[in-house]
Amino acid sequence: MGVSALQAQAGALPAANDVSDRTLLLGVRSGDERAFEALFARHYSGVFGVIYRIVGTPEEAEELTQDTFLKLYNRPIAADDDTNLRGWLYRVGTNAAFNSVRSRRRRHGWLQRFAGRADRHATDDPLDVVARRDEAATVREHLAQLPERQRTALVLRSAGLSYAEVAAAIGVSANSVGTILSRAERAFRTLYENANGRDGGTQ
Amino acid sequence: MNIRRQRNCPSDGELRIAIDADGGVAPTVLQHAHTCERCSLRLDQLREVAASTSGVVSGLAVGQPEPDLAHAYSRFRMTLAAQSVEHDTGGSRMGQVFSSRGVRSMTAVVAAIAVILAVTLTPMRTVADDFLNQFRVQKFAAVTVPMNLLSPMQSAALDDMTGENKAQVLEALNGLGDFDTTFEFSKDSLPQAITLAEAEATFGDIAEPDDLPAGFDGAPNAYLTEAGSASVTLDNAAVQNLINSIGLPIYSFPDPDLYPELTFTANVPAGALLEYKDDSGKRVIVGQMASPTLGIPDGVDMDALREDLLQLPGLPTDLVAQLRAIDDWETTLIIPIPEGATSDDITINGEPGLLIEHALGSAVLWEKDGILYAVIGQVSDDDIRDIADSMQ
Repeated sequence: MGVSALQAQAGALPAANDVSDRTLLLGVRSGDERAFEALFARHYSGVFGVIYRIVGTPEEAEELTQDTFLKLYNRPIAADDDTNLRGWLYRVGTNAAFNSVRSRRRRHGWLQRFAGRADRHATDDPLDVVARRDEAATVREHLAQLPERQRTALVLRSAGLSYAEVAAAIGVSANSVGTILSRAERAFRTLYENANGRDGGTQ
Repeated sequence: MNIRRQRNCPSDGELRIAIDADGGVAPTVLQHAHTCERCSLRLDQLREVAASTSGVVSGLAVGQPEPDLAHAYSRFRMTLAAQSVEHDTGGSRMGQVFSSRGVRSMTAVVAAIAVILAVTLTPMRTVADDFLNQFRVQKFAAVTVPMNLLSPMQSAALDDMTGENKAQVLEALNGLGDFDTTFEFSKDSLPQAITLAEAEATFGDIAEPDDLPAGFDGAPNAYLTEAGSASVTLDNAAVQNLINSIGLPIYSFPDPDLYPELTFTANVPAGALLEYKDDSGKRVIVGQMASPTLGIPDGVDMDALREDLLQLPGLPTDLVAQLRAIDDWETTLIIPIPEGATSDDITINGEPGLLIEHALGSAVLWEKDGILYAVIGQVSDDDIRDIADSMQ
């Protein structure tokens, strides 16, 4: 089944593009497979994109995105409102992704001690690729050090989610997102500057 | 530099929302900032930090591929199909397991006791520091377990509950998580007797005793047990809700927001048993297997959880005292023994071992080079030690 076929199938639901997440979720909870397909088609790319930003490899992002939807399939959440599902998907996905980054950091730490050396990245890549990977890995590690709500808000906002959607994902009111975001940005900036020198390399 | 805001000035959060012109507060906040020098500076600072941070974090999307939706959904359906097969062949939701055995009325008590025993009696040793949370057996200790252990705990847990409360607890337990196992629990799954040669063809070399008591020197029956695994994935929030609703003093589970699910996994390697019989029907059984391992999820502090569980009301104080007396519990497989049995720490071929004596027979357990050995038989403790010592 191609992308268009899947989307077409999702669209074959009564006015699927206009059907709310809440209505589709009610269908999922009653065992409607097509309703789940429609939600999958609607949200998979968005969740994948956010997770990719956190973990940095398409393979791992796909793995974690699949797990996120598997959890939804196995235990559909209550259909409260439309932001609820997106919030839940992004919360579960980002939690899994940051846990993965944290585990990876611990594994790296163990391997470094084992190998007795500190270089974390492959050296046979072109220098610019290595530099870019180093930079991205450093940013991810800084993010992983922030409190959960702060790091999630920062990543989701960066991925283009609205304040209401970020609020649903981290379980606060939309007005509180501004406060959390400003704290997250300050904390991230401090971590980044401490690691990269005072100018932080930021523009 | 942080600029302090004055009363009636907008908060940093309000200014931050205003920068994005989101959330519906922008016009009034921006109007204020235009007339308030402090807030104008604060707004500039926040804007600068937001822009630089956004620039860095947005860079994480570089190289992001567009997912192949059809491939992703196809893979998803395959995972579902595999999941369905697993459930049909042994794995199932926890509630279904309990229901199928017709023991729902005992679910709360049995589950609580199982968790307590699993955590407090489980052998644990960190294999590779923080590389993997995998624990395995290294040595043994005996703990006398009262035969009526279940009764007082059952009473403690359920006597104070109303029928409605019990129903709520049982309902909550069904939503605690998923249980999966590759083990089969049926008459057909019991290992069949084969010859030693047949067993070694499958298992590899099997250690045999050189010395056996008189009458036990015939060819043994061999049995192989298959490797298997079991895992339980707990819904952390549901578990903590249940703990709180019952009022259990357990505080060591991690934050559900950080760890929404906790998966404990037990892997049991394949094992081999040799059974020797004498003419009177007495038996000596020699067993060996690599150490089982227990996988502990990230975020679970096993020391804290163990301490919480040891303080649960209803656990016999003598059992708790015995468990507390084992300092190196992470390296030790604790063998529950019935009242009336005795145990001694001994040495088998230079390795620390455990000798258990009972009116019905004796047993020796030890570990060497990652393999666990056991000799159990209806013979004297001297005989059982000689058998073990002869397994070089």
